[in-house]
Amino acid sequence: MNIALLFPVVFPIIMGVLVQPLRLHDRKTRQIYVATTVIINFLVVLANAITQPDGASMTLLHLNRVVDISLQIDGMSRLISIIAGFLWCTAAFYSFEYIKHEGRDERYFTFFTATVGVLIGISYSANLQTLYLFYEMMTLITFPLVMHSMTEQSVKAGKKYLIYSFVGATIALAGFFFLAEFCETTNFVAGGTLMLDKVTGSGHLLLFQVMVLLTIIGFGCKGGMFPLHAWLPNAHPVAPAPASAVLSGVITKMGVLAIIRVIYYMVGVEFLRGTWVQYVLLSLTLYTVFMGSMLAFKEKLFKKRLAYSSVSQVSYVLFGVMTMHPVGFVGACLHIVAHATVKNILFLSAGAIIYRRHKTYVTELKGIGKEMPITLWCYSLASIALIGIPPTGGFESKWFLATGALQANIGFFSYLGPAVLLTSAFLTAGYLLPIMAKGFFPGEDYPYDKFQKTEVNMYMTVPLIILTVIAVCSGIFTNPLGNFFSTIAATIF
Amino acid sequence: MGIAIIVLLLVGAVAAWVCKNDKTARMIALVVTAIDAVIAVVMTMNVSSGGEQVIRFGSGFIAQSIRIGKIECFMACIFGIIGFLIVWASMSMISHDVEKDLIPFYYFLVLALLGTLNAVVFFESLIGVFVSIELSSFAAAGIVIVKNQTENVHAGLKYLSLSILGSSLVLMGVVILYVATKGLDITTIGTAIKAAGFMGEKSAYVIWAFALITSGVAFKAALFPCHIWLPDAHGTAPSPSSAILSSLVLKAYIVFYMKMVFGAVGFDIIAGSGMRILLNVVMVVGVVAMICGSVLAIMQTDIKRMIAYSSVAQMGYIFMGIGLGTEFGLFAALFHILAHAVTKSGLFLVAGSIIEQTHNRDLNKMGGLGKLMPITMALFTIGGLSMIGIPLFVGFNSKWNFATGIVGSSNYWLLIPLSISALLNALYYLPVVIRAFFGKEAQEITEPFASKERPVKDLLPLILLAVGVVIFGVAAGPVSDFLHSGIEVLSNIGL
Repeated sequence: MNIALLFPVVFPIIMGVLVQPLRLHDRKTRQIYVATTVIINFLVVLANAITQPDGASMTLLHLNRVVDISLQIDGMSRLISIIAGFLWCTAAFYSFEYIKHEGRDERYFTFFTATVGVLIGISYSANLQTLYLFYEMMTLITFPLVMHSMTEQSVKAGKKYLIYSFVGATIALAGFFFLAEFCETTNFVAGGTLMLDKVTGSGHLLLFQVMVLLTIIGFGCKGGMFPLHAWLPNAHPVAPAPASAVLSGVITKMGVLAIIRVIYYMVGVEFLRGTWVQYVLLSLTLYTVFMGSMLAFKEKLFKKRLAYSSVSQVSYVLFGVMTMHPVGFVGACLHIVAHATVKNILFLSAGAIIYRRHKTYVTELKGIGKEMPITLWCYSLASIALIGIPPTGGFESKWFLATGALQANIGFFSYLGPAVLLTSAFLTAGYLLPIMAKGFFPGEDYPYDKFQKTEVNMYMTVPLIILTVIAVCSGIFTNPLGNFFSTIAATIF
Repeated sequence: MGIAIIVLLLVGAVAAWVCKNDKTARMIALVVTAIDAVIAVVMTMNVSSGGEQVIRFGSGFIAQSIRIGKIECFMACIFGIIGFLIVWASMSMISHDVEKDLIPFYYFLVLALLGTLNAVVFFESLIGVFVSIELSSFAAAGIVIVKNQTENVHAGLKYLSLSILGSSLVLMGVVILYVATKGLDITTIGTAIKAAGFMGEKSAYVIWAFALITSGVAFKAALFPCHIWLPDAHGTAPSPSSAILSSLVLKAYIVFYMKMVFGAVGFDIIAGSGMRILLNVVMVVGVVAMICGSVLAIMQTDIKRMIAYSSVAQMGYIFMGIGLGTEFGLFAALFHILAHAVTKSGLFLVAGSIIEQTHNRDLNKMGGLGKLMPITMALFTIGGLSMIGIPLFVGFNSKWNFATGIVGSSNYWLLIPLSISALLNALYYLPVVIRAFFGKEAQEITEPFASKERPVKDLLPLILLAVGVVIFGVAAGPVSDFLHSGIEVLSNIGL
């Protein structure tokens, strides 16, 4: 029993569940309680990532003779668990202030705190059934966050979220039964454990390929990949801003992680590389990248625009994954980091504006930079990072994505991919920058003499600033990250 | 020991009836089912260490034999333990549904029903099985009618008539088998069928006989579209009766059917004969039941009817598993018998508690119930999640077994209905949970905050059932091993 692995999974869940029974009615006490929980959790995750060797594992339960629930640490789990643990801390502090405006604090913190445990569970999963368990738990535990405001619109969005998630997970599960039959083990082993002889011998090669494709599409639901993306633009914006931030920034990555696990840790790239499955997946991701950007460009509701942007950006990551080339894979990992931090900043700043000024449409944001300078500065730097202007993290990741696509042996997509990414980058600039421009330079008719400074307080600005520093600096000090991802890539190719 | 169980239950039944006092009748029922559960467990331990127990009595044409192997023990444990928990739960619930004067009669029926169900499973000779089936039909219809409302009488009569139709079909099948094999017990019939050349000469007899038995069992076990009696009977019966009917009664007939198909005929012959076609039909009908049962459940507004239609779908799973015709398919079906028994009895008792406390059966008016009855709704949530097939609950293990059986037997297309059915389950269980915990209506009615929770001591059997759902969800290994070895014994009958 390696308790250190179990702790960050179980601890937040227990602490979350206890929020209501402990009757933490006093705001101050509740804040200390939640803050201690997420910080301790982050420290444990960090300690695990540093001290635990690759492959450290523990088996929790044997559901039956074949299926066991086990946790394990490897490169991908380190990456995702640290991202989740850290972003949860920033979002928690931000929530302390923001949630005053939403109400139902106890319910919010119950689910918010518990969710991080489930996410660590997903990143630590040692096999597909464990991942599936936490994946379903994640759906059930996050949908109260989506419908937190309980307006008709948010309840509808919550239901849509549930239905799509269940459809996605069920499709993935159906594929999983195939993987379980044709892989040596359901455990995640770098490079995959597919028994190719058995697949070809059974005469069901095509069927198996279809099932792998379906598994990936099913898990792609959480990552907002076409065709199961439609819930995301509804569900993410209606949640309270810090919840939207982690939904978009972190939870979408769980879909990505599941796909990486299926492709690189179960089936193996050798089987998929160069097949029609890869081309279908590349087309789907590129289509999603383009479609998401276009829809974001058209969208006038601020948070919904950001949600469409997530649809597009997560598929950047997925595109990198689907190139099935080490450089593309490193690009995907870098973009996971970049998008996770940046999308948090964007949603948190949108939330700050809603919190102070109650402005939800992008057209209303004229002069917001005068009124809330720190917020808009953070927003602007994050936008620049997302567009991919050097030296921010976004540039580095897109560089790797594009070179990976060019080096990979994927025919026509080697050129189409970078072209779409570039177009989408222009669109990203098109939908993010006008807010910054109009925010700082509202034009002549703006009442320059009358505006009031309405910056939000420390709870909200400090997380924003920390995240912005990371988003910018991750591009400058990219070598350690890149090296770390290269070591992961070296194990799976 | 098998005889001891049957005799104990029947004597207990008579005692409960003749005592004419509702309190005494309750105590008798509780004690008798508790002893039954203990005997069943002891018997299981004896059988797993000492092998099958066979008891013969009578001679000539009416010679009867009882054979108790692992499968029979498995069922005896389900009947014993779950029966005990349901009877325990009924202690505090039954007076809500059944008049005081009728309570002794009610427990007479319940105990008689449990006794005859055990007999259906234990008897090896088909005459004994048939008599037990008939008796159990009457007792089962009785525990529906005993509520003494017009709708119950109608539902009970519908149930009884279709049940008797089912038994007659089974009887006709048995007669044909007798003509062909000159045997009236499963072993003799099995020996004859498994003899070289028999299935060549007389395969038509056997297949027709099994077609009749299948259609008879379809009525008895509510296989779609022969389920029409089930929603009325299970939906209107007193809640403990509904729990017994769906989690125990249906299963006895299915196990009898499994013993006939996989014991008397066996996997090898199935694979290479016309029986395969028959089982294919069973499989396809099972799939249709899985989908249609769930679709019908989605359309319900009455909580108990919804759960009843869910049973129709779950029976579909079991018949699909049987229809696979492989050892793993049979194992999945047997495991699902356990899964469904534990989960569905809990769900019906929870539904009964809700109706009892709020006098409301309408699903649309259950908003906010999670605040009023937190434990009850938590139990409902566990049952619902298990039915959907979320890991850590027994339903997931069941789904896993079916999927492994499907992939192992190369009937890949069945994964599609299996997945769709899981989704449909989510579509009717989750809204209830969501409405209960996040909805408002019921709260508004009873402001200021007033708990409607039943006392924990009354909820204890329900909680134990939920614990069962989790235990068989996280540690199904031992049960699976037991069933696998039981199936091995079953398939060697008559060899």
